[in-house]
Amino acid sequence: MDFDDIDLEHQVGGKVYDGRVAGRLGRYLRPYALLVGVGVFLLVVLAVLEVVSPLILREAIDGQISEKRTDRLAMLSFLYLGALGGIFTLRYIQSVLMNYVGQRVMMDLRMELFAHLQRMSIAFFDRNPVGRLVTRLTNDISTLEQVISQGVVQILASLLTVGAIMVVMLWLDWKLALLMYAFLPPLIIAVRYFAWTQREGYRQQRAWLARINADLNENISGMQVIQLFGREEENLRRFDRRNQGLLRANMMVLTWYAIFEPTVVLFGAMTTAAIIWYGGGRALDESLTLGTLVAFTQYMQRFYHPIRDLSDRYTTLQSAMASSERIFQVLDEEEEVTDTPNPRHLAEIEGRIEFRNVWFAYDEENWVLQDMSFTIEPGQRIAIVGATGAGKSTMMNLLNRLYDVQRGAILVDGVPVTEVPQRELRRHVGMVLQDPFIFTGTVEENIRLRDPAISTAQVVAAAELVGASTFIERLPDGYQAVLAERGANLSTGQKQLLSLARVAAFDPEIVLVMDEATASIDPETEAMLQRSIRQVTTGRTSIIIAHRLNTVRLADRILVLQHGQLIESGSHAELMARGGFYRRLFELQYKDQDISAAGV
Amino acid sequence: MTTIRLLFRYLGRYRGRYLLGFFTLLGASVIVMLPPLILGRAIDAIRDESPSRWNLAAYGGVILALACVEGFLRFSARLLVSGTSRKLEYQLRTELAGHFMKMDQGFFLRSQTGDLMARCTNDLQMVRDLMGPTLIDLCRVGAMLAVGFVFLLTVNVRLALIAFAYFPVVAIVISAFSTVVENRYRAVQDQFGTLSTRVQENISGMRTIKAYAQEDVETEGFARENREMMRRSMNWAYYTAALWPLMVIGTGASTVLVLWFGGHDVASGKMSLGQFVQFNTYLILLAAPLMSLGWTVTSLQQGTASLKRIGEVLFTEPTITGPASPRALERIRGEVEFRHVSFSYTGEPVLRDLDLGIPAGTTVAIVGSTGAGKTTLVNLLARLWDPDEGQVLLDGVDVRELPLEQVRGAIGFVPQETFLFSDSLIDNIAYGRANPQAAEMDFALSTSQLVNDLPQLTHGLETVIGERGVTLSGGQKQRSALARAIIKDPPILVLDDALSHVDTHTEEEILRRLREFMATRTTIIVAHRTSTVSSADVIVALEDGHIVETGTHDELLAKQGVYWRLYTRQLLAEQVAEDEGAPEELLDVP
Repeated sequence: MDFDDIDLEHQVGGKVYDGRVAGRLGRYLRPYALLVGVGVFLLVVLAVLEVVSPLILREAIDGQISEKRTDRLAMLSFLYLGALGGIFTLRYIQSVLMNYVGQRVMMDLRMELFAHLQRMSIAFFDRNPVGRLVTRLTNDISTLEQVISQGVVQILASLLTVGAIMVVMLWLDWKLALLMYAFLPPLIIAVRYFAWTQREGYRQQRAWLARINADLNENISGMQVIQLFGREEENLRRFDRRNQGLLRANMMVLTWYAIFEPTVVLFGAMTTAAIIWYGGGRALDESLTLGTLVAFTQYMQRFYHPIRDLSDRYTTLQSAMASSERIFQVLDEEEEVTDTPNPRHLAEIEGRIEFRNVWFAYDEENWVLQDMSFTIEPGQRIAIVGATGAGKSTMMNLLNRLYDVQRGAILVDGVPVTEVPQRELRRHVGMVLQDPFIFTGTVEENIRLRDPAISTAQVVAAAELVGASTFIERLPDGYQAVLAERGANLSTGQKQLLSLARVAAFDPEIVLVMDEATASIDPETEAMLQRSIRQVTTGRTSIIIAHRLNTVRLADRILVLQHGQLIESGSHAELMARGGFYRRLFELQYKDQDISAAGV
Repeated sequence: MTTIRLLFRYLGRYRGRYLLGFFTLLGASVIVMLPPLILGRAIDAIRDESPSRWNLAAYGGVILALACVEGFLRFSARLLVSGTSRKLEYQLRTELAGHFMKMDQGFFLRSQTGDLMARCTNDLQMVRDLMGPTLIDLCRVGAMLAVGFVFLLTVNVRLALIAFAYFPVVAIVISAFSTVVENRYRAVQDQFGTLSTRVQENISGMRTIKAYAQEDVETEGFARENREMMRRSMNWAYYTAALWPLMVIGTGASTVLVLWFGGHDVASGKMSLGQFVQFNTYLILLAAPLMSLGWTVTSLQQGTASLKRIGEVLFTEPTITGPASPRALERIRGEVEFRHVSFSYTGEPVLRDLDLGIPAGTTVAIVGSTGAGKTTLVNLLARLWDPDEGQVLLDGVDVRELPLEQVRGAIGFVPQETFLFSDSLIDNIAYGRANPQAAEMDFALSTSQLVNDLPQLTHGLETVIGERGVTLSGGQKQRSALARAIIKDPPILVLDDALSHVDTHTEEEILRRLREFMATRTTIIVAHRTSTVSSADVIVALEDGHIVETGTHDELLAKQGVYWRLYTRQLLAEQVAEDEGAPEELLDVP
């Protein structure tokens, strides 16, 4: 089976002009309708001015030079200079204007897309690789900029210039003008045919490039296997085949372009020859002045430039259409976790949590949580234990609405969480993540997460509360120390301390702690984390996914999960006395720790 | 310097074509100057001689014929130069990909896949433009200006000098402008980088942002960077917007000069009207290449910058290569020895002065916690890395003295992280061995227990898997990788935590079937499950890059050390949870 065909269909898409996409793009221009209007008006004036300058030359030839006079030559020279100055000024203003509009539209679109992404659920980010979304927000939007600030306007300008030239020629001498028009139909056919071949070429070019990219990606990612299995040559041969495909497509585009260029030259020569033959004949019987003849040759030269331009813009338009389609696809993604239109608010909460017959699955049918029910009183500290895959993390994610339950309800202070706006809910439910994400920036910024509502004093207090201040103060710049991307210059334990400090700084009523025992943490740090977790959870309703024995012992109550169901619940002593699953789990997982960590 | 050298190396490969292309361009530039001459003659003739219609048709015919020649020359030049640049692009791309194939793991650890891909595509396109259209434009501008000046001189020396007087002025203005535009453009690009990083971090850290309800703060921060992007882009636009009109006015001004001085010359009879028109037409002809000069310069800068990036990769030599004079062994028996091996990836030692001998045909199991150095040890054997100190010996010969293909060819490696290619299952299994026999395939499929999965797959062995095909489960992937190693029929088999996603029942079955296969080969098993390793001839426990225990299963249990602890804990685990292989990575989302 040849999967090359699959991606050919998949990747090529993207029409040159798609009414729906174009219309939607146009909507972004609406706020700047006035500016766009001014820009278009300037274009019309410019087209007129550009047509005027050869007329001045014609006047100079017919009225002055031909007659061997120079009395008005100075005036005509200045007029010509004036026309040039006008073109310069207007074109500059017009260009700045359109750049401004283009940039504004890009800014709006980027903002809209970014804000839209902030509203998407975690499930969306699970599905979409980071790289793809970054590309939408950066490269794809930049491609669009070209079409707005250059593409459309240039096409309009080219069309206007061609139109103006046609009108002026008709006014100068309608017979000669009509002769010139006769060359238009074959020219248009040639340009269209050329555009069609180019489109075909670009289609293939893109398809091959996509294959090359896929191949490169796979080869680079799987290099270890390639080298271990001695496949370097065979894979290079395969790559070379794709590369040759691209070369063929490239050569096709090039050959047609190479043919197109002389074709335009030839058309130019044919019109000049026609002007000399027909216009020259008319000049002989004096029904046409020499100045007009010269003006015609100049107009025809100006005529071909915009036509060549038009076919160039075609490519820009094509890639822009593909980009906007991809952008709109993301914008059209619906929010999966939504806020209700009539939300209920949690201004001050006590922190009572209730799971009422909760069912949840990430994908249909594989129930991760099955009919789970329990209640946690305000201020209680709860530990959840269970094997990997028992549904512990899922419970946490449902409580702060990173996902929504399928059946049943989760209530905070008697209010179903699905009726509380997500962001408001999360302000009340703090989360200490297992693998905390560190942003590039200072320690302080990382604790307050760029939230201006949290003061420096609060940041320091939070760090002191969880004991993170000890290592922070040892850093070269203390709280102002800049952390590397993904916290590369911090140990795992330090990252977790920062994560705890975040919660302390945001001061929520309910705290969820993902406490994963990591092999890379030394006993000293572990003891420190232990103390920090106790500090952060004191006085708040807290749920801890516990892996360390001491953490479990901190809890007022322990919930034991197995296969998405709550099978036991009670204090450590009660559960040990019962001799059920917890006791066996305890003996298995915590026995060694009990021996080694008893002294801590 | 090296960039220039690289450029000339590639241009030199097609010296003939480039030279021919240059002369063709020069020819076209000469031809292009002739029609205005004809036009001027025709006008003078009309004015002074009253030529016949046939004469006029002859003038037109000559113009047409010249256009045909010019068109042909342009077509040839385009194919010669641009066509060659595309061939060079193709060659460079295959060269780069081939270079990747030779690079060591350290190189891939340091580089990012996206960046390497960009060099192979975007950068290469910039270089292609540099060696094609940009070169054409540079030559054309040069040739046109030179030829044009000569022609202008033939018409009227004084007027030609006047018209060309503004040239230095235009050149100075354009270059001054280009510098400013360049700097401002760089500022835009920097901000674009900042914006990209911001987005990248935002999306990567989305869980944290959502958990702390920081979406608004993030959006605000992004808005600030976005506005800065707009500000810098406009700063750039203020200048670039002027660039093109400036060139128009630069070239237009010369027309005024010609109108003024030339007009007087015609009036005073020093020059004919036809010559005046001819002169004017030349100036229009020369304006176009002059105006494209700005674009050409930008493309030149981009092209050299990209060429530099490509050079960076091409000039990076692989650190792991076959020896210059390899001593190939006739047959590899499979005796492995690590002698005083020390190794570190980034300075932190992973293996410290490790000694381990594995006689041919035995099975050695390696256990130890994460980061103990187990994977590193087997990677050194396959020369994915070379040790910092000490030696790895295969049949008594340092692996660095053996041909690289022989070392790797002797090892059936099942890596920790399974990588399968977007290809049919059968092609993935037969990855290291072209055209395996049916019996060999059957053996690999039954040993890896893949045979039971085939009915589920729509096209059986021909099913396309991987990124663009069917997604296999973690266990299926690992078993495919195992089959891939078995079919290679190697004297040494390495299983690096290779059955971690396979359920215990299937694992038992696989190990049972593998026993016969392993009997005649050296096998190294890295594993966490004690059930996997218990039947090994020797079990080695690693800790912090040292060997802390060595012995058989029974010996180590009697010792009550590291291995014993691992064993007892897992025994309990089996009792407690009959875990049926739930998809852990999905369920344990933090």
